[in-house]
Amino acid sequence: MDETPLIQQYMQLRSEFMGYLYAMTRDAELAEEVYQNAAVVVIQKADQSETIHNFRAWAKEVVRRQALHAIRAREASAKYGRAMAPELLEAVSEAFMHDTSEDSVVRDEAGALRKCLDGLPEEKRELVALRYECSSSFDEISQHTGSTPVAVQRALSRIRKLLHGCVQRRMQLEETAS
Amino acid sequence: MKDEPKSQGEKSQGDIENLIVGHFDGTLIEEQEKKLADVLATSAEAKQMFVSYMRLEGRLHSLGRDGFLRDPIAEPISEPERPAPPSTDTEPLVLNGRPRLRIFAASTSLAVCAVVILMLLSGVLWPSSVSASSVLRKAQQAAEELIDRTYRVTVSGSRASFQTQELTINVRGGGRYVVQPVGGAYVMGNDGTDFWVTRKNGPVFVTSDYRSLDPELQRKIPNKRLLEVAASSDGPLLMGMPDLLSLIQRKYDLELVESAASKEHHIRATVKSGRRNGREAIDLWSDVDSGVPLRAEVRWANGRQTRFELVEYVKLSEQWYHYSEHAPGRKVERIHASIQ
Repeated sequence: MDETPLIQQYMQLRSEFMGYLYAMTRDAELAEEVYQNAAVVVIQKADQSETIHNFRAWAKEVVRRQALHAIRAREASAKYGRAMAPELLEAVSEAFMHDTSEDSVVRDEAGALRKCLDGLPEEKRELVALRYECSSSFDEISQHTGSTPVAVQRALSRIRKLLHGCVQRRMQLEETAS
Repeated sequence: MKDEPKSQGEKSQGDIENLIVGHFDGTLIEEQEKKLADVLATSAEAKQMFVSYMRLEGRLHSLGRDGFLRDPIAEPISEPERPAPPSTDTEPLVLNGRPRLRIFAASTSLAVCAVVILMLLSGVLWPSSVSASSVLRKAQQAAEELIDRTYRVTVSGSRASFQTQELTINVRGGGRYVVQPVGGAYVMGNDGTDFWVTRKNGPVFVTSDYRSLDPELQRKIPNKRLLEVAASSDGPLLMGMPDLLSLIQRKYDLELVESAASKEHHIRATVKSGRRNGREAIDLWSDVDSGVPLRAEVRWANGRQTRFELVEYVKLSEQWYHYSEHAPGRKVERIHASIQ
């Protein structure tokens, strides 16, 4: 069993969990809240003597439950627009829960992404930063860039695909090289 | 988002990718969401692609949160990429995750703001080349004096669901401070030598490597919305303190603002213009005569605000900054900083 403190193990899985939480909520701030709420559960668990044999799987379940709870609460508040199709919520959770990607793959992806980001032209990188630093909406970014929200959304979609493709290619190259 | 009128089975990889990207953009209509759900349920390849996009999205949010999406950073090393510490050396990992605090997340912007504030209040840092240098130096000197000051800290957010939080911070020069939220769920502090943190009835975690540890400790401050800063597994925040300070210097413009009150100096640190969508700023008011910081406000682009207000000067014992005062008789776990 991994002797690393639970909370540390949890933090190491941050990107994976945040990706899932964003996919479920499409709200970076809410995703962050849920991530923290789940962290509290992890911390509380650390105080108990009960052994966790598969931390990743256990933590995923914690995160999933917290996410569903938060989504229900958000829907109840009726302040938000259309709720995501329940089928998709379920499919996203299913994909998340049953993803068995190895740690080494996850780690290598992180390194590849950094290199891919460094290779992005300045204006594309700026757009990514605008989107992800402050969780800005397409409207907000368009005001900043003097473009239209639709143009911003399309540009970011292209960039995301570029980055994803770049990461995958780098991963394949490394796999081939090894 | 446009979607080609193909049957589910005929969906090309490009179509699936469009659905996935559209999902993360929030541009899918309900019908497209159901199509994506179908594809994820029936295609292992699609599911794999979705999961890798999900991780990409998580990383971008983490990197953005930490403010590392613009300039190529000097090869920040992510946590998983670091050589694993010896198996017997798990202590830093405990602190790294700030075990007993609900204080993760937050942006590096947030972290930087928070670090600046903490350093201003505790006298650890004043940037040496700022436009309001004389005021800053004076405030720095004041902060270094061994006078106990108590600040009330209020953290508020723009969202209706955000619960305003209040904390109390006792600060003395030499890096000493004690932070407690209202309700006392945890206490954390620094006695000038050791950083420590404890939760109600839990053990005390102590490290002597506060300044060299790295930004983990900068995230060990009080509130999840304040200094928090949790260890991002994506690594940028594992930079050393000098790098973090450099980041602050690069990202903030400091200026002296004309104050309505003649007894106060007003300093503003603003995220450098054109560097960010939305404004992040720190306003700090200090006493003209003594230089003591009286209050400070940190504002984030998302509307969140943290306010520090000097409540009183009350002489506290030296022991007040030591964990033994706050967690008598508790188990003490010393943490060694070996993750640099």
